[in-house]
Amino acid sequence: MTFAYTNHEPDLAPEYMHIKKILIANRGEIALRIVRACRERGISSVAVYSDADRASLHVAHADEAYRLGPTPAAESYLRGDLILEVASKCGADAIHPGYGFLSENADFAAACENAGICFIGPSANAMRMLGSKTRARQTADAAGLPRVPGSVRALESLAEAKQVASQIGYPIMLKAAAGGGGKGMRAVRTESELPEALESAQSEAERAFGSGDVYIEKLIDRPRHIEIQILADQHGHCVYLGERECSVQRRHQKVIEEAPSAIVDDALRSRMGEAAVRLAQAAGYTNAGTAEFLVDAERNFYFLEMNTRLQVEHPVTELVTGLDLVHLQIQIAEGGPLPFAQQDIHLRGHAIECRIYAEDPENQFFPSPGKITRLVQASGPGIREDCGIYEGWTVPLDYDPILSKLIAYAPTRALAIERMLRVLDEYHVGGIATNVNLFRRILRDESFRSANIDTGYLERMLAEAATQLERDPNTDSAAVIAAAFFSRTQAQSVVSGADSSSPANAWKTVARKEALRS
Amino acid sequence: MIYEIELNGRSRRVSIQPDRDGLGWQIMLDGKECHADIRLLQPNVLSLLIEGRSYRILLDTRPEGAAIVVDGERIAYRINDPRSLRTRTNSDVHHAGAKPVTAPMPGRIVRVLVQAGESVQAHQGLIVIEAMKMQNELKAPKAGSISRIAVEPGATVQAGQVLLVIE
Repeated sequence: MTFAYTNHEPDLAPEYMHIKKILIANRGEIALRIVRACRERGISSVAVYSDADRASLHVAHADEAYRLGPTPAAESYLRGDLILEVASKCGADAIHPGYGFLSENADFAAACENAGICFIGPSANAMRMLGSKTRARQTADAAGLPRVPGSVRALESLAEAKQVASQIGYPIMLKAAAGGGGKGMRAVRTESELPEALESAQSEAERAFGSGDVYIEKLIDRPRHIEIQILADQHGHCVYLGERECSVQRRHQKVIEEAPSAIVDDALRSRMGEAAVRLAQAAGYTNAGTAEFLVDAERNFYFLEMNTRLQVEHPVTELVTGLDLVHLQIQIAEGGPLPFAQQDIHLRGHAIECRIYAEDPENQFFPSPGKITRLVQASGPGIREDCGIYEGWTVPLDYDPILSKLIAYAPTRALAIERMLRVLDEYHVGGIATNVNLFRRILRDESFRSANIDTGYLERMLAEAATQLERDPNTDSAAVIAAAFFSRTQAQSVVSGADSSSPANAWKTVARKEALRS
Repeated sequence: MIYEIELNGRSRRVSIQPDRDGLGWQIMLDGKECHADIRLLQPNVLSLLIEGRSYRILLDTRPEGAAIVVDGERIAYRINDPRSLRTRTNSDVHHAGAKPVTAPMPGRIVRVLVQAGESVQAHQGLIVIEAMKMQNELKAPKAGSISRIAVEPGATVQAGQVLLVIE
């Protein structure tokens, strides 16, 4: 596969490696997304799975698939030794880690290097300089990046935490050094809250990442979360592919991402982009990576952390740049040069991503594992769906609740919002609760539509009562008629001896089962 | 057959039967005749035309109840079926006073925040349960005192399993 760039130099020397078989050390939608890229490049794909995932989509789509171990991630997807064993047995010459699991584990990257298997990502060394948040802050200081004031080392005691916090002033943020996904993070507004917050952040970090290291940062008031995607090859070239804004978050987990950001102009983009490139080069970074920044109301930006892997939200960048990041990751891992320069990268249009989760916003966002009884997938102009589920599949309760990602692409932000609303009306996951309705609410909200957002926006919006949209009374009548129709046709099937799946009966069956369990 | 359907806080009466030539349906909604053309496209998926208006409708059944999805909007409903009325009343009576708190999803108990005999406020945190890598705090549905705790930290629980009881 090649990209048609005007300045492309056909200097692919024969010594570049040609990857023939990639093991994908992940599951769900991202594993499938990588399997598809392999297929498009004529590379064999190898899936691995835990016992809960034998019937998962990524297994069925890959060219080969091997069992790793029991359901818990610690006994399967986090077992680097087993993954390397499978890789060498099946003759894979590269491993793509996806996101999460082992993707930011420098020891695993080093083990791949030692085993002579290409790790599709940065070197273990670069990962060590940027992967841990405390090390990344030291590297960022050395590269002259503006960053949020705070500690650059893991806290060793409550006394040290108190001292650092009072030095930089409350409110502060506690963060897990090995962290990501909002785990091991606590906002602390006064010293009296510190002991308990420190303890719970440390234990949550220990459970989630196997390291209880926590550090302190000053809390920036109503910041926006804006991140820069970079790509670096093994020949010293590094470019930035514009920004993504991910300010719509809940419990520090991204909910909606978009590109470009409504508040980033060309001047700010190049300042942030150049800072990200400087950081990558200071660490000898290669492959795809993301520098995350907080941006305050005066549009000052502060370095937050580096994600040394492909991001969940990479599709929005792909749509506005016209590039394919997974293909480029593979090309870079093969030793190929970046097939374009910074001046060739242009952003066009606007892309928005919604992360569809198996969780119920109307019931405290409780996870909702269970069987998907119906799936009506997204389609139509400007819509991309990166999906890891199918009708009839049972969502396991053991992993992240992400089901799929809907991405809308349009010439303008306003049209991308309308397009996403259109597709949310069409999309349907039946049988389990999802957060689809939450997105309808956000995308209709005036603050979101005017891009008046920050990382606290969603929690504030959720605290307000939802303004009940006035529903057309004809819609209620249609629903009543449909309910009666379903009830009648299903009552008939009982008479004819067929199995009844009427809602009332299904409900009773489940209630009885649950009564037995208790 | 006449159905009494509760939807959007309102009770509606609807009768539905095949029309004279057996090709369509004759529908009475709240005592008025309603011209609706119904096609079942797939199991649990309908196309409904009412006076030219087109509705794409799905039936969504979940353990916690059924809903009609119209153009992406989920509308919960309940059919007041005389046959099920008796059982429902019985179970309501049975639980009056004592309110069991059940697991909303399968998961693992991380912490129990209250003790048997303790009195609690409504919305007070009771139990922390972990599923899908997230910890969730279950809150008291009403004020009262804890009469029984049925689980210990570390226990794996099923959806609907009783965790504790508030009197």
